Amino acid sequence: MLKIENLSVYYGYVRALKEISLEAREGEITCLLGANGAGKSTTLQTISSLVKARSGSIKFRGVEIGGHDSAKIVDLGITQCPEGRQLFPSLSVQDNLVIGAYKVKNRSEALENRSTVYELFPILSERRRQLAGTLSGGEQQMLAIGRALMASPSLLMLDEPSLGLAPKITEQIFDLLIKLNKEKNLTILLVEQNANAALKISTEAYILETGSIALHGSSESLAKNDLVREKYLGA
Amino acid sequence: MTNFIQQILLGLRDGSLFSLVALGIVLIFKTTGVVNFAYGNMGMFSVYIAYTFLIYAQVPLWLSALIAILFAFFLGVAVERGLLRQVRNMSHSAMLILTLGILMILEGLSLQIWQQDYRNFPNMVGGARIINFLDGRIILRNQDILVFVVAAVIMLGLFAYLKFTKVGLAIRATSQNERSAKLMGIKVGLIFAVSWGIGTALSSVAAILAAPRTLVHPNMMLSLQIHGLTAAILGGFESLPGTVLGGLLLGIVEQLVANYISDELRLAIALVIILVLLMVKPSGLLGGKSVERV
Repeated sequence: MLKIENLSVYYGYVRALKEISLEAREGEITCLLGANGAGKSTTLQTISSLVKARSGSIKFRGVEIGGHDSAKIVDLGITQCPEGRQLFPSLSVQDNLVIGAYKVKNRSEALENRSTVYELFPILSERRRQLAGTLSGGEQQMLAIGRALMASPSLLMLDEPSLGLAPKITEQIFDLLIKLNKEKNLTILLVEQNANAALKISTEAYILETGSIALHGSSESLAKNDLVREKYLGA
Repeated sequence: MTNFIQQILLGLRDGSLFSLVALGIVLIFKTTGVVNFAYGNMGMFSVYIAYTFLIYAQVPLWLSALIAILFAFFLGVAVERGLLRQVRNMSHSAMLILTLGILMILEGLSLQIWQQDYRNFPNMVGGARIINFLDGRIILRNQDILVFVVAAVIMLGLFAYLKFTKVGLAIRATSQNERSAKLMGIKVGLIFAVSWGIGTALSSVAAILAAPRTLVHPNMMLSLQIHGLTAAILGGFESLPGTVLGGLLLGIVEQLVANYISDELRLAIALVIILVLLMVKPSGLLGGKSVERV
C-alpha cells in the first residue's frame, strides 16, 4: 500500500535518513523499531510531508506522493498520530475530534467517525466537554489516536503511542490497534521503542539504525533473531 | 453626576477603538506568533487610500471606506505571504524586525505620496444626540454611537466566527499547535494569510473611525497603536474577551484621568498600566490558568 524506496532526508547538512526502503502492506501492521535518533519519527514526518525528502520515492497505492503538501496526504487517506500526542490543549476533547475531520467534506461521515471513536473510547465521550490539556496521559493518547481516525484513513501511522504510559494502558492501546486492524481492516505503520509489544502485534518489522535500515523481516523471525533480542528486547 | 456619565461614555468610545486595534494585534499574534509593530501604520495607509478615493476620485464616503478596508485585508495577506513567510523559519526576532521595517516604509511612503499635511477626514455619520438626564445633558455624537455599534458588531462577529465555524476552529487549532494542524490537513499558510488579512482590516476600520479626530497624517495611528498594545497586554495577548475588557477599561480610566486630573497624563497612564501589569500579572486580566498538563 505504501512503498518507500531509497529515501534520503537531511536537516541542513545532517543526514537523518540514508536511502531507506520499506513497505507497509495493505491490511497488515508493519512496525519500525530503533533507538532514539535512529530516524523513525523523521520517516513518518517525511511521509506526512512535514519534512521534505532530499531524494527517493514514496508511493501510495502505486502513485508517487513525495512532494505533495500535508493536506493532500490527509486527503489520500494517510493520517498520523504524532509522537507526544500533540493535541490542541485548549480545545475541548470534542473539538479536537472535529478538527481531526477537517478534510472530511461529508458531514454525516464526520459524525459517524465521531461516534465510532466514542464507541472505541467511551471515556472520551464522558469527557467530551473537557479541555484536552486536562486529560491524563492515557486519555490524551486515546484522543490523539481518535483524532487520527476522524479523517477516515486507510493508512494510520502511529509514532510511539506507548511513550510515557503505564504498562496496563500500553496494553489497552495495543489491543485497540489489533482491533482496528482486524475489524476495520486498517493498515497500520507503527513506530515504537517498545520492541517487545510491537513485534507481537505486527507482521513485518524494520529496524532503523542511525538513518539506515539495519534489519528487515517478518516480526516472528526478528523476535527470534539473537541480535535483535540482545539489542532491543533486552533478553 | 451627568459629567461623570458623559466621561464614561467618551471613555467607552475611545475604549472600543482601543479594543478593535487590540483584537487585530492579538489575532495576528495568536495565529502567527508575531507582534505586528506595523499594525497601526497599515491602518493609516488604508485611510490615505480612502481619502484619495473620497477627495480625488469623488467616490462616496461609505464606498471609499469599504475600498480601504478591502485594501487593508489584501495588504495584510500580501505582507504575510510576501515578506513574513520568507523569514518564518529564521527566528521570531527576524519577523519582529521585519514589521518594524514595514512600519517605517509605510510611514515614509505616505509622506512621499501625500506629504505631511494634516488632512480632514469626514465623520461617517454627522449630527449628535442630546439626552436630558437628571440635572444636566449628555451629548453623544452619532459618530460615537457608530463607533460603539461597529466595534460591538465586529467583536461579536469575530468571537462567533472563531467559536462556531470550521475555519475559526482551524485558526484556534493552528494557534495552539502548528505542526498538528498540518497533520489534520489544515493549510496553515492559508490560515496565517487569512488572520493577517482580517487583523489588518480591523486596523483599517479603527483608523477610519478615528480619522475625523486624529486627522489624516502619517503618525495618526501612533497613539492608537500604543493603546491597542496596552489593551492586548491587559488581555494577556491570549484571551479575546480579556482584550476587549482591557481596551474598554483603559479608555474609561484615561478619560477620567484626563478630565479630573490632567489631560497631559493621558498617554502616561497607558504606559504606566503596561509596566505595572507586566510586573504584577503578565498573564493578563482574565489570564492565569494554563490548562496544559505535562
